[in-house]
Amino acid sequence: MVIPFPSVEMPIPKVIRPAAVITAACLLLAPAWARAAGEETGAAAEGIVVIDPGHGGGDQGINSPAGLLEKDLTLSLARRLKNKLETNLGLKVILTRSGDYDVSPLERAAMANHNKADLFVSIHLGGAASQTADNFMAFVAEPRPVRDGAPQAAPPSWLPWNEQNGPHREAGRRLARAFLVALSTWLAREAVDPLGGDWLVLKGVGCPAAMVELGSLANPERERTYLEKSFMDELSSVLFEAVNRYLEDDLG
Amino acid sequence: MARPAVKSAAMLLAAAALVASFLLARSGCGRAGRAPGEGRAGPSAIAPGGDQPKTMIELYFSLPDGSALATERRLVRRDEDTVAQSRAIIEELKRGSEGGLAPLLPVEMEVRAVFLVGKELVIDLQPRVREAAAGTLQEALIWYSVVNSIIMNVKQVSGVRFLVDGLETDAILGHMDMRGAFSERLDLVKWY
Repeated sequence: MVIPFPSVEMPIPKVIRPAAVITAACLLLAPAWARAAGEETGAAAEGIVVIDPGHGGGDQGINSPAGLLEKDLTLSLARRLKNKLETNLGLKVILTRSGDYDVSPLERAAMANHNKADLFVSIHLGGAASQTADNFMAFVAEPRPVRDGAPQAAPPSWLPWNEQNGPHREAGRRLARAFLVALSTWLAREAVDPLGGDWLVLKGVGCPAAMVELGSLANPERERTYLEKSFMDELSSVLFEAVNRYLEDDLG
Repeated sequence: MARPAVKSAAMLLAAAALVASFLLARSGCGRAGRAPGEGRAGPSAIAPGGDQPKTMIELYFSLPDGSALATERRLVRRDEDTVAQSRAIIEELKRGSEGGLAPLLPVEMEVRAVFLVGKELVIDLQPRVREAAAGTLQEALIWYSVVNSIIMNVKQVSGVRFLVDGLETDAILGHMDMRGAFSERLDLVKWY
């Protein structure tokens, strides 16, 4: 038995007509409403930020002369930044490690991709052979330069793991620049350009990603500031301002 | 009296000993074993006048503020053997700057082997290198001080690859992807 498809001639109950019109209008306007809602609350209000506290576990990172460990300071800064982003911007923030344990660089990148991160920030401190060094720097993933004339493999039709960050490189550079502008203003220094490189933790991240290095623990003056709670609070506020500025400029 | 006869016999004995020691020295008897490559024929051998051939190279160290690389010129022994010349450059880097630049190579960085594959120089490091701690920028300067110093001075080398204990590894000092060969990066150098 064949059920006839209802033709236009079929009588439609009067009460259904307005409901159908309203439903269709809702369906058509839904994307615009969603965009408007995003603009009101900040475009990334439902976004996910992954913060990566550098090092951890057996990998202590830089060890200062007074015994400060980079792995502890990065975790402390990451927690402070997480709190500010969640409280002030309503973002969902995930840390790649929440305690003192080993996580490999590739696992950190995988964590960002698994959680469909919209933004990835890796926090580090510096070290140097010289006690006068105290660089505040930001890094972005960039392919390793190849010599002119060196044979290069044809690009594959799919995006390999190591190049997941490729499509987001320019956005990552803007994020890194936002960090450097905020930090240089705070420190009253001249802003430098982000340094591109083959950074293991960034190259596999499938969203805008940057790594910051916040002074040198080999520098006694910088080490002293890291012993002060107020410095950590201020520094995390500067990092928060940089992320906020990036979101406003790029997505706002 | 027998005294003049004894005196002349002693003189004869001394002269014989002198001749014998001269002959022994020429034949090489009593010398320690030669190091590989030592005394081989070729341009890197000791010149007839006793002068070692030298060459001027540019080594890449860190600026004192740790922000970039800077170069320092140095006269070093010239060796036509690519691996030997590269090893000499690494040794000079380990000796540090003579002109006020900051040293870069950590003490934990010890070379296990160096060899050439085509135009790629492979530097195999002792596992102890993993004990070294370096910041992100510092790590970039460490690797590129070696890469730049070799590629810019040894024309037979166009790439440098680092291994640890004979194996390629994704990270050595924690930040940089160490897989594959490195080419020089002159954008990390601050020129005067």
